[in-house]
Amino acid sequence: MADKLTKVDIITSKGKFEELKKALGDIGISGMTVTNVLGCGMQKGHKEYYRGLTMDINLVPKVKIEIVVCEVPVDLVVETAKKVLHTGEMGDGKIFVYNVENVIRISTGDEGRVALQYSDKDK
Amino acid sequence: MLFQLMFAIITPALISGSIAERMKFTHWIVFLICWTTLVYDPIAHWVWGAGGWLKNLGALDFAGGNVVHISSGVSGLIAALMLGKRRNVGKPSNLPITCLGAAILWFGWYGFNAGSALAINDVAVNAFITTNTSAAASAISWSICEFAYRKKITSLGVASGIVAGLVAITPGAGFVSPLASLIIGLVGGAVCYSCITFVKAKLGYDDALDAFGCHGVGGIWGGIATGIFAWKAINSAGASGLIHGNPKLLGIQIIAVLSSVVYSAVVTFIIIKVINAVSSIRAGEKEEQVGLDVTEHGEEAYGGIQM
Repeated sequence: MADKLTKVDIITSKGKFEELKKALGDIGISGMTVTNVLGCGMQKGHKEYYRGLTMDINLVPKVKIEIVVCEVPVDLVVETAKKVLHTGEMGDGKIFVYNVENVIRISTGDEGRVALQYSDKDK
Repeated sequence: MLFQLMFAIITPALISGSIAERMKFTHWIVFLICWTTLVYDPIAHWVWGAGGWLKNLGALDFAGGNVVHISSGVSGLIAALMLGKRRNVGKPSNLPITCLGAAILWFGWYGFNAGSALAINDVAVNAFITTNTSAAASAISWSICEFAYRKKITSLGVASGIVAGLVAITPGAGFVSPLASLIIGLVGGAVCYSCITFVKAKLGYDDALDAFGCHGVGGIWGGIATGIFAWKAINSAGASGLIHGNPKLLGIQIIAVLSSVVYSAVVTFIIIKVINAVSSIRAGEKEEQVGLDVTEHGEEAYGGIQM
């Protein structure tokens, strides 16, 4: 297979994050970017009360995990995520898959699949 | 003198709750100086000063229900009405700090109320007990109201209930019995809750921290309650109220409350009108959106992205 770079975005609830991180580590993914996000979808929001003020909160806090893979098959990443995160209820989240033009490691100038690899001596 | 100075300092701070997020800082400083001199000082003299007309009338105000709470609460309402609503009302930015603040207030209020006995004696101890009882009772009644109305008891509600109870007992702390303070707190919490939840929504004014709802209304109830529950057996330097056979005191208390309300409202109105005539007192729309911490003070107070 050619050096195809793929980005996988996983948006899911905060509670499952640690479990997901471990599962991804087990299949060979140790690098990721994680952000706290707010979003809406099928999950409706809730009401919050602050003295005389009632607010309809429509954005739900979630966590977004961004991974770029080359060596590790994308299907494996998606299946792993689904296995960890699936409950069957709404609020499980979504996975988005994109193509990536290039990856550059800033410290060494490596590009492409080499930039995603960690050699043994770095561990 | 230092004790009295503390009262003068804390009172205008309450007004800051009403005008939050939309008043220019230099104008606020000018307002503080004018207000303390023209509103606080006269009322303090009427109620506590030698020769003060409310004192001579026999009005009772142990630790400043009129002087501190009614004056600042009503003035805050006037200021909130004159400044107008905030364009964007967000949610509280830090509830843990709010709860911590309520705890500090409760602790400090012991000094405020019990200290107003100006000695360590039976009256001071009575004030200590009534202060604590009223605060706790008010927190409970506020929570009951909240649960009845929204099925949820909030920490902000408990904190607000505590403050309302502390305010309500302020005029009567050294004049009423602990049992009376229980009633004062229970009623105070419910009355302040109702004002903030129903009256404020109906009238549509933006009193950001409910200075009027907690301090104004709480102080008014406390002043009237003192007229009902005061007991000479608790404090011989005081008087007895309605339930102890002296309905006259209630009338005197109502006069004191009304004069504090009217005077605070009128003079605050004039002060703000004059300041605004010289230079617009309200921050601009862009400044308000960016946040006065950045535009007035050059500091980012809260940091991060908030939605």
